[in-house]
Amino acid sequence: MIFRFLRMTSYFFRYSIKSRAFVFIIFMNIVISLLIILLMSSSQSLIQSFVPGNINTLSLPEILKQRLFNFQWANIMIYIPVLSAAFFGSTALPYEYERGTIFTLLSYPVSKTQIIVSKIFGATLLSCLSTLVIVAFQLATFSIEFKVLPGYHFLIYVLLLLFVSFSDVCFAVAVSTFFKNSGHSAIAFLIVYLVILDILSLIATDTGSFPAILINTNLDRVIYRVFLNSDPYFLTYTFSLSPISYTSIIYLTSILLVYSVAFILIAMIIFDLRRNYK
Amino acid sequence: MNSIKIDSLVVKKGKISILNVERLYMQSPGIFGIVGPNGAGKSTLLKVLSGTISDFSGKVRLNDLDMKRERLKAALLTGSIIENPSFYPYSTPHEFLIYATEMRLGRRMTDYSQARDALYRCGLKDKADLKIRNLSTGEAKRLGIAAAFAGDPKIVLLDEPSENLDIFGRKMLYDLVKESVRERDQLIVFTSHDLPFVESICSEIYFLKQGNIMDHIVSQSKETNTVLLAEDIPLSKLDGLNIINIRDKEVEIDGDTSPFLTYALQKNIRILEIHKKNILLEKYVQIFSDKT
Repeated sequence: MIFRFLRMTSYFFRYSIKSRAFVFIIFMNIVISLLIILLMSSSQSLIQSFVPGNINTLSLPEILKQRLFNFQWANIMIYIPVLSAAFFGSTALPYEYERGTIFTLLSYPVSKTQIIVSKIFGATLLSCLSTLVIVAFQLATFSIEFKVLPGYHFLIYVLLLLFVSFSDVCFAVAVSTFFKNSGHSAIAFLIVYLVILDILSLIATDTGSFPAILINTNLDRVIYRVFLNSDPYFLTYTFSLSPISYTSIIYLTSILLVYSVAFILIAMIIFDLRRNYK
Repeated sequence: MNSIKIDSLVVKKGKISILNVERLYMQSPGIFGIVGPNGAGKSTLLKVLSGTISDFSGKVRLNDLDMKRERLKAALLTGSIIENPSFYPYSTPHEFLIYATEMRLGRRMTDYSQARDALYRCGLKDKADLKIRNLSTGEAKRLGIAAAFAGDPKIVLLDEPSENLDIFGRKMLYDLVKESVRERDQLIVFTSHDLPFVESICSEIYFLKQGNIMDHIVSQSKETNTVLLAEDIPLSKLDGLNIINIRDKEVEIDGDTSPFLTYALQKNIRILEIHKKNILLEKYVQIFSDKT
């Protein structure tokens, strides 16, 4: 049982990393990394824009400069797990329908639950791998800029990135179970994630009917709050030069875990209910 | 001994019944062919047997394992190629065959050269390490056949296996199927529109029309010869001459014609021609003529 599950996951991962789609997204991540480096080297005032009032960034303590540096990288990084999930998670299952390989897969002695979970794990591995490419660039530029390795906050940041990658893949796979076309599935996921959830967030903030922080997109932004507890995208904008507390990280990631489990269950139920595979 | 038992199987698409098999029993050693026009339900039947369709009523048992309640155990018994086989384009045939074998066995292969041997046997010797997307349709079909037999399943389900195969491919398929039945007691079920191929290989053939099994023939009854006599001679159905039917100057003989020919020589009966009667084709036309 476990062997077949691991074999399915590893096969999906191995053939996917040989695909043009994977090479393309790695290439794009390298381009993104280079553009961030270019942006940060050409515009020192960016750091200034994150600092309130008339504080001169040159006179900031080293630790704060480092946090600002990582905060700016992380601000762009939050999109990478979402896009990777759209690329790998949204297409993992519909691709099987499009190719007709779903019949081969279903004829093996594996349950539908195993198929779904193996797709989630395989796509998460791909998503993490592509995300780590940018993280590697971030780590390298940080080390060059500050002549030191980043502290434990960076490690928490990387772990959160990987966890958010997993969560976003669960979300994308859950949406994809409604579709048999990978393009439609990816677009639907992005619409739900980037548009519908953002509108819900605005409604929540505006009406106060429920806490906007509980919305998936806002939870994902815990990534950059590891460096500075600031959220420029969130209407209830608060600013702090300190990182978010560990209690808050645990609280937010716990909710994200609940979301992930819910998405896995939705994916399993919808896939199990599916009868037509053509 | 391997077997397939079907009782009151009904598969519906919406409210329309697309497969309705009252009773079907197949048992190894044997090669069972299912023929019928497009939309007759051949692929649907194989999908039910391979476990890719679980939404059906009735009883389907593979080696006494219920396909509904024990699907995963039953799936351990089968190897299949359903519709046009599709693969992961960036994988190689060798990688895919190892994957297919390990998925069936549920453990790591101890000897990867077995997968390579299977590919050689299916005529993919030089293509084993190419990316699958570079294979032709016929080569992909050969890979599908190799994958269906991977891990020595007890029951092999082949949907249109001879389609897109060249003459060498068909010979390979013929030898592989015959050998599997002879040496490994496998039960082979396949669907096809290729009547001469079905006739040459199957021990039993079922005719499927609009989801219903209309009739079936067994290999013994396929061997019917027609002898055309020069003149109308009154003959009765004599014992030992294998005569099935006499109509005007035509005598239908079941199987071996030599007793009748010896009799004809003794009685000085002139024979114009002897030809093998295509029972399968005749039956096919008889059953499906209103459709085709």
